[in-house]
Amino acid sequence: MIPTTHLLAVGAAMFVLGLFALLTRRNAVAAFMGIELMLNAANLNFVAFNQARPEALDGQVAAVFVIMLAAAEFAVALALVLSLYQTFRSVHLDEADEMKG
Amino acid sequence: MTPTYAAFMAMSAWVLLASLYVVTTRNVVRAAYGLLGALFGVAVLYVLCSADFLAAVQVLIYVGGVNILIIFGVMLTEHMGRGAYRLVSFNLLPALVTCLLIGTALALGLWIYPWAAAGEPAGPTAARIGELFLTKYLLPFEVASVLLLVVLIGAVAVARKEVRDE
Repeated sequence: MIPTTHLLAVGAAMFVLGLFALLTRRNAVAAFMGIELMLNAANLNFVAFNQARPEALDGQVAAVFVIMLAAAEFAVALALVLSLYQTFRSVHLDEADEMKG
Repeated sequence: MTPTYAAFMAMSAWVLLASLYVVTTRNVVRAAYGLLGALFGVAVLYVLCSADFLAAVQVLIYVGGVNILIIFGVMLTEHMGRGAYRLVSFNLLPALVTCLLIGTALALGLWIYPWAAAGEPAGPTAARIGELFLTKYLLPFEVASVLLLVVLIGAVAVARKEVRDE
């Protein structure tokens, strides 16, 4: 039996690491990896909370929805990165500084 | 210390080390493979929490889908030999301060709030999750399928090369 707080601690550490990647990365794809880490940390928290009432399973259903949203989000993100690359010939976030396509 | 808890400690150390590697490596391809390791580790953590269906979904969608997409994203954008694989960190100090503050807030919340103790895990979950999807969570489930359709069309519309006939 894994204590809830220990799972939450792992989730918190993962979230902070993902946030750090999101804030420091220049490459758009690497920044999205940070977002994926943060989403996984949130999912870990959902599973940890689900353990308090294992027969209800609401937390696990929420986690499935989060995984689905993450996949959809990354599909759109990949499309945006490709279109960014076609416009600027680079995926560095600080070089894409104009709104005109 | 039960075997489950020992496995949990080992796997969480693995997940955190892999995440740290994703965050610190300067090569975006290596970061993608580090993310692969971290996501697999999270799937094992789900198994240890007796969330079997969620572990299968994690492996299928994250490891099999999202990670492949990430590697595609790297390959389709950066060219080898251009030196563009380097991930130079900028605004390092503000990011460190922000992460420290948020980490402290999360740790304080973890420390202060009386979290409910974990109950006994109740058998396989897949059948009951499916039942919940078709009863209590029917509306979010249908909205999610519509969202996936929208994403499918939107991603193609955004990513395709614009063809102008003149």
